[in-house]
Amino acid sequence: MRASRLREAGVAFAFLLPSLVPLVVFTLYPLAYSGYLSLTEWNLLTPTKQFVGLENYARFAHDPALHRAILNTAVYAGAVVAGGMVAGLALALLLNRPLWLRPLWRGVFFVPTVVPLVVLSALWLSIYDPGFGLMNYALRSVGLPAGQWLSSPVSALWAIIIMMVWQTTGYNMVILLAGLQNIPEELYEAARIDGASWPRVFWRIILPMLSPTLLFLVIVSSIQAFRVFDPIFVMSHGTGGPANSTATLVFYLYRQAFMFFEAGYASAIAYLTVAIVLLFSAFQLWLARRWVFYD
Amino acid sequence: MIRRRIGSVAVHLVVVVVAAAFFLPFLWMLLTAVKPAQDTFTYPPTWLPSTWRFENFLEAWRKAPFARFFLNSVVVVSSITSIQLVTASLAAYAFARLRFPGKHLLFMAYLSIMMVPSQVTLIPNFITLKHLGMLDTYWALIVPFAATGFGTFLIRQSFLSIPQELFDAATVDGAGHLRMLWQVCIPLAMPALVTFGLLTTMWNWNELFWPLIVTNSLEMRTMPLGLAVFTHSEQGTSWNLLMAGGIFTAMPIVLLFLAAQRYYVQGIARVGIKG
Amino acid sequence: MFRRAMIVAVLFVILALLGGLMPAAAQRPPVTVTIWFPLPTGGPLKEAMDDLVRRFNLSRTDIRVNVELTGDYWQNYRKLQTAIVADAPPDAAMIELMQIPEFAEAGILLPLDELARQPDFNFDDVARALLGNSYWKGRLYAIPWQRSTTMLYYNIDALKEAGLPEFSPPSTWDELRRVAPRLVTRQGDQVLRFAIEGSFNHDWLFENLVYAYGGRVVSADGTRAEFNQPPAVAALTLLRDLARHDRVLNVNPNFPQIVDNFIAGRTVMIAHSSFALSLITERARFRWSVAPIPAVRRDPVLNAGGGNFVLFSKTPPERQRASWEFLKWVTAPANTAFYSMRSGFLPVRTSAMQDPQLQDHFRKFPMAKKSIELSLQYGRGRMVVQNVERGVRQFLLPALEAVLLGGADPLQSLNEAATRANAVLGAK
Repeated sequence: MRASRLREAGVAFAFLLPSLVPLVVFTLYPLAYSGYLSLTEWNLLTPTKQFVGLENYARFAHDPALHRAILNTAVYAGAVVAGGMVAGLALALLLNRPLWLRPLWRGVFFVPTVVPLVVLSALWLSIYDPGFGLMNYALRSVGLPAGQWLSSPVSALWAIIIMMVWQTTGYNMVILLAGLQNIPEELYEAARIDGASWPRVFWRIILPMLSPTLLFLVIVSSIQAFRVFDPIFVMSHGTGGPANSTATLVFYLYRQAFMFFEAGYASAIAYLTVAIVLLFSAFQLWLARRWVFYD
Repeated sequence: MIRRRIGSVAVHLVVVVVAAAFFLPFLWMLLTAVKPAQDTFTYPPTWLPSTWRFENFLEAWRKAPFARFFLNSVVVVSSITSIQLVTASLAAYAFARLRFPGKHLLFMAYLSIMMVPSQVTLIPNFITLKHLGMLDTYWALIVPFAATGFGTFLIRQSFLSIPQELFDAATVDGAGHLRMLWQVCIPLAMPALVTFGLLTTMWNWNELFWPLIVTNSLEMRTMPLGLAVFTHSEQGTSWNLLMAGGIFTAMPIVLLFLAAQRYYVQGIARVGIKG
Repeated sequence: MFRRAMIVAVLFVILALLGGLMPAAAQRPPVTVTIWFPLPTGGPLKEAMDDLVRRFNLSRTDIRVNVELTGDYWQNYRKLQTAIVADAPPDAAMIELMQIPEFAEAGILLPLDELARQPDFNFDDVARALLGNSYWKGRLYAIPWQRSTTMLYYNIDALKEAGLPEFSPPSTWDELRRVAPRLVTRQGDQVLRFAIEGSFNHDWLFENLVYAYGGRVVSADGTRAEFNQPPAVAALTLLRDLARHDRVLNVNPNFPQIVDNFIAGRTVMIAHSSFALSLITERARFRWSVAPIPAVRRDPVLNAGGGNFVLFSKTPPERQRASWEFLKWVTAPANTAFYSMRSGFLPVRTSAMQDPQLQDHFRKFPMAKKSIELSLQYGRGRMVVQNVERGVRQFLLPALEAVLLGGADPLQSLNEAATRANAVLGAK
C-alpha cells in the first residue's frame, strides 16, 4: 500500500516537473527577488547593489511624476471600466433576442478584442491626426470643434480612453450576453403578469440577476486597465507624453527600469502597482456585499 | 402582430447601424492600406482610393523586415502553445487524478501564476535571462511562458468531468498513468484543449511588452514589436504603408478567430460565468 | 623506373596543391565589425552610407564592416544602453553629441587621443568648429561624422506671392511676427498653411532660440539648469504666443513630417536641419532657399546637431583597430566630401571643402554651399551635461510640451522643471 502511494507521488512529481520548474524560476523566485531589489539602488550594470532599505518607498511621496502616473492610471481605469461596462451592457441588451445573423454582429463587436493592441494603436493614430484624421473630420461635419487629441496634454489620455472603451466593449458584451441568457424566463413572465414597465424590469430584475457577472467584469476590467501598456507606448512614441499626460503606472515602471535603469525604484513601483490593484479588488469585493445578489 | 414585426425590423436596423459604426475604423484601415500616399493627405478625407494600390502591401513588407518578424512570431507562438499544452496537460492530470502530499498548496501556487502581475516579475526575469545568456534569443521569448496557471486550471476542470468508469476500464486493461492521460483524458478534453490553445495563441501573438524588454536586435523582433517601431517611423508620413503593416500583423489572428469564433466566444464566456 | 616517376609526379602534385592552399590558409578571415548608425531606413542618407561602406569593404580583404540601422538618435541611445547592460555592445557607433559625456563618464567609450594624434589621421585637418562636444574632462572621445545645424528653409515662390521680398525671409522674430499673417491661409478655424513650422517642443530648436536670446539651457559647467532664466522664458513665451495666440507657427513633434509639409506647401518656412537639404533638393517643385533661423537682436545662431563616431573600451583590441581603420578611411577628405554632397551634412575636414567633386556640386547646387557656409559661420555647440537625459530632457521636454501643446504658463512650467532638474544635476 505504502509503495503504491509513493509511486503515485513519484508519477505526480514527474508530471508536475515540466511546469513546476518554470513556475519557480519565472514566477515565484522573481516575486521574492523583486521585493529584495526594491530595497536596493542598482543600475542593472554594476556587479554590486547598494542596500538602501525603505528609501525607494519613501521616495514615492516626493515624486511628482509618480503622482501624475497614479492619477493618469486612476482616470484611465475609471473611464474605461465604466464606459466599457455601460456600452457592453447596452449592446448585450440589444443583442439579447432572436436576431438574424446574430453571430455576425457578435463577431463585429468582438473583433477589436482579438486584434493586437499595437495594430489598433496605429489605426487610431491615423484617426486622431489633427489635420487629416477621421475624428476631426467627423466632428467638423456636425459642427463640433476639432481637437488636438494625441498632440495635447489635455486630451491625449482621453483619446486613448475612447479607443480602449471601443476595444473592450465587445468582450464585455459577450460576457454580459451570456449572463443575460442565464436569467430564468419565469422572472420575465412574473414581471409581465404584474404589468411592470421596462425600466422596472431592468432595475429590479436584470441588474440584480446580472450583478455577479457585473462584479466579475468590474474586477477583471480594472485589473486589465491597471496593466495597460501597449497603446500608451505606441501612441505617445515611447514618451508617455505629451507632458507625461499619458504615462500610466506600468509605463512609468518600464521607463524607470529600462530607460533610466533604476532597478530598485522600479521594483518598488511594481509592488506599489500590485498593492493598488489588490486593494482595489478587495474594496470591490467588500462593496459587493451591498449590491451583488446571489440566489 | 404587426407591431411586433415592426419592432423587430426597427431593432435589426439599430443593430446594423451600430455594428456599422463600430466597424468604421476597420473599414478605414482596409481602404487606407490600398491608397496612394497623396490620398492620405487630402482634406476632407476620402473613403475610396483614387487608384487601388495593392503594391502598398509589398512596399510595406519590404520597408521593414516583416518577413523576419513574421517568422519570429510564428516560431515563438507555436513553441509556446505546444509547450504549454504539454506542461498544462501533465500538471492537470496530476492535480485531477493523482494523490500526493501538498497537492492543495501546490495547486494554489499554480493559480498564483495567473494572479501575479507581470510587472513584478519583469526585472528579475530580465536579469535571470541575462545571466543565462539568453537575452535577444528565441529562448527569452519562449521559456518564461512554459508554465501556465490558466491552462492547468482549465484543463484540470475538463479532466475532472471525465467519468471514473473510463479510468477503471483503462486500469483493467493495464494502463499506466501516461497511457490514461493520452488515451482517456486528452481525447475527451479536446474542446478545452482547443479553446486554451486558441486563446494562448492569440495572447502570445499580440504580446508587445515582453519582446520589447528582452530583444534588442532587429532580427529578433516579433510582429507587434516590429509594427510598433514601424509606426514610429511611418506615422504622419506614410499612413497607407502603416495600415498595410497593421493588416499583416492582425491578419493571422483575425483569420484564426473567424475560423474558430465559436471556441473563442465560448471559452471567454465560460471563464466569465465561473466568476 | 616508371614507378619512381609516378611517385615523383604524385609528390609534385601534392606539393603544388599545398603551395596553392597555403596562401589561402595563410590569408586570415576578415575581421568583421558591427557599427550602429541612427539613420532612416531609406533615402539619400542610407544610400550614401551604403555606398561608402561597400567601397570600404571592397578595398580591404582584412576588414569587413557591417552596418546596423538603429532608428533615430534617441532610439539608438536606448538600444545602446540596453546592449551595454546585456553585455552585447556593437564595435562602434554613431551617437548624438549630447550623449557622449554620459557614456564617457561611465567608462564605456574608448579615449581616442592616442589614435587621433597619429600622423596618418591628420587631426589638425578636422574642422575645429565641429570638435566642441567631442571632449569630456579633457580627453577626446569622439570623431565628428554627420554634423548638421538647424537651418531655415523658405519657399521663395510663396514669399513672392504674399508680396514680400522673395529672397529675404524674416531675419528676426519680430519681423516674422509682423509678416506672418500675410503668409498664413485659413479655412474656418483650420489653418491650411502656416508661416513657419518646426519641432519647437524638442530641446534642439528650443536651445537655438535660447541662444538667440542670449541665454543658455544649462550652465557652462553643466551643473545648473538655466532654462528658467529670463532669456529662456522669453524664448518660450514667444513660441507660445506665435503658436497659440497668433496661430502662425506650427509646433510639429513629427520630425520627418515637417519636410513633407514644406514640400506640399502646408507651410512657407520650416525650422529644420541642414541635412534635409538633399531631401528637399530631390522633392521640392518650387523655388526655395536656406537662411539662418531668425535672430532676436544680435547675430543669428544655428544650433549644432548630429552624430559623432565613438569606439568602445570593452571591444577586443583587434576589432577596435579595425573600427578605427574604418573611421580613418571614411573621414578622409574625399569620402567626407562625398557624404556631404549626398546628404547635406557638413564635411568633417577643412581640406574637404577643396575637393573637386564637392566644388562641382556647389556649382550645381549653390544652396548646398550656402548652407555649409551658414552652418560654419553661425554654428554653436550644444549643452555639455554629464546626464543630459535624466538631468535635463526628462524635465525640460514635458515642460515644453505642456506650454506649447497644452497652453501652460511658460515661467511656471520652466521653474518647476528647473527645480527638479537641479535636484538631479546637483546630486551627481
